[in-house]
Amino acid sequence: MRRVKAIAICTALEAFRRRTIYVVLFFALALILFLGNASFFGLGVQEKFLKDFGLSLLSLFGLLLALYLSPGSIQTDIERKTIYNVLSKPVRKEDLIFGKFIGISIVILASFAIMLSILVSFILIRGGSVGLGFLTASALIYLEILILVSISIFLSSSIPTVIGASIVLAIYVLGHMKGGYMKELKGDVASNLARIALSFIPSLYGFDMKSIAVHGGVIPTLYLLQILGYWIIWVVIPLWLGSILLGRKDL
Amino acid sequence: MSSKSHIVVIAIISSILISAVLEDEILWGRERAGIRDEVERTPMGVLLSMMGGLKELVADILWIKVDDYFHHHIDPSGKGATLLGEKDIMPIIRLQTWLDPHYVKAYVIGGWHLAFNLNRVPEGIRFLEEGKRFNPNEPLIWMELSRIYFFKLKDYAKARYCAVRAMRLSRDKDELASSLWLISRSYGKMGKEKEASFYEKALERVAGKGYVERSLREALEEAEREHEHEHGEHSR
Repeated sequence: MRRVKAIAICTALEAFRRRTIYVVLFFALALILFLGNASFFGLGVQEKFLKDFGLSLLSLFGLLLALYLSPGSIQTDIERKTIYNVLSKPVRKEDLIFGKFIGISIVILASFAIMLSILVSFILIRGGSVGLGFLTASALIYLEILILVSISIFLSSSIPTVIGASIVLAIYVLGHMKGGYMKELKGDVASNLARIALSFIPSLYGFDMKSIAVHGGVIPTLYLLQILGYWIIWVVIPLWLGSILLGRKDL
Repeated sequence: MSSKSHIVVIAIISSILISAVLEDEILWGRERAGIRDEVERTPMGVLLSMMGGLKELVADILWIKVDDYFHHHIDPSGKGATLLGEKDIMPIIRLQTWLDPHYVKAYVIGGWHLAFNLNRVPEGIRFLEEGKRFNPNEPLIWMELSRIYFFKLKDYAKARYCAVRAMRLSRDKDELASSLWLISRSYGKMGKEKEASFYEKALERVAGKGYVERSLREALEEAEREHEHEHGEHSR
C-alpha cells in the first residue's frame, strides 16, 4: 500500500507540474464566469442552464483530462525508459498501475473540486439552489471519468498513446449511445451477438443523471448502489488486466 | 493454459455477466426515473444519441432561440416586428423535448403554441400528454391541458379533471390560484353552481378578491414593459 501511495503522489505531482492542465482549467472557469453572467436566458431558465452547462463542462473537462493524462501514462514511461528507474526498486507492476490510477484520480478530483465550487457559488449568487441531486450527479460524472482513466491505463500498458486516446474517445461516445441501442435489440441471433459486443463497452450513459439533477429531482438510492457496483467492476477489471499485460512485458 | 490464465478468463467472464445483469437494472432504473434513452430511427436521432451527456446543454441553447422567437418575432427583412415564420419554431421545441424530456417549459409552450396559435388542438394535446408521461408530477402541464380543454374544446369535465390534478400538485400560490380559477369556471360552465361557488371562495381565500383582474393587469403591465424595453433597444 505504501508503494502504491508513493507512486500515486509522484504521478499527481508530475501531472500538477504540466501547464496544460491550468490552461484547460482556466478556459473552463472563464466559460463558467462568462455564461454565469450572460443575460440571454429568459422565462426563468437561467438556473437550469447554469446547472446543465456546468455539469456538461465537468464531463467534457474530465474527458479532456483523462485523454491528456492517462493514455500515455505507462507507454511514455516505457519510451523514455523512466519505468526502469521505478521497477528497479521493490515495486510490483500492479503497484505501478494502481498508483498511476490513484494519482490521476487525485488530479481530476482537485480540478473537479475547483470547478464545482465556482459553479455552485455562481448558482447560489444567482439566487438558485443546489440540492443533493446536483452534487450526486457531479459525483457520478467523476466516477464516469475514472472508468475512462482505468481503461486508458489498461490500453496504455500495451498500445501507443494516440491509438489509446482515440479508443477512449470512441468509448466515451459509444458508452453514451449504448442505452438507446440496447433498447432496440430483440431476442434474435444478430441482436444477441450485438449485445455481446456491446458488453465490452461500459454503459457510461448510466452515470449521466443531469436531467434528473437539474430539475431538482432525487436520484434513487437503489440506482446509486447498482451504478456503484457497476463502476467497481469497470474500474478494477481494466486495471487488473493492465497489470497482467504489463507483467508479461519483458521490462 | 496455466492456472493463472484460467483465473483471468473466469474473472473476465464473471465480470461481464455481473455487469450485464447490473446493466439491465440500470436501464430499468433509468426508465422508472423517466430518463429517455431511446434512439429515434432517423439520422438526427443517431446524431442526438451521439451527443450523450451534452444533450441537455443543446436543449438549453435551443431555448435561446425559442425565447427570442416568442419575445421578438423579428422579421429578418428589417420591416419591424411581425408574426412571420410562426410555424418554424415548433420543430425546435420538438427537438428540445427529444433532447431533454424533463424540459417542462418546452412542453407547456409547445402545447400552448400548437393549440392556441396554430389551431392544431389534437397535436397540442398529444404533445402535452407526452410531456405528462415524462413529468407526471408537473402541475404546469396539467394546467395547460386544462386550458386547452376549457377554451378550445369546451370540454369542461376534462378541463375540471386536469385542473384538479394541477391543484393537487401545485407548489405555490400562483399555481394553486390558477388551478382553482379553472376548476371554478369549469363547474360554472357545467351548470354546477354550488361547486363553482365553493371553488370561487377558495380562490378568494388563496389569492384575495379580484384575482383575475389583478393577474390580467400584471400581465399587461409586463407586456408593456417588455415592449418599451424592446422599442428602446431597437431605436438605439
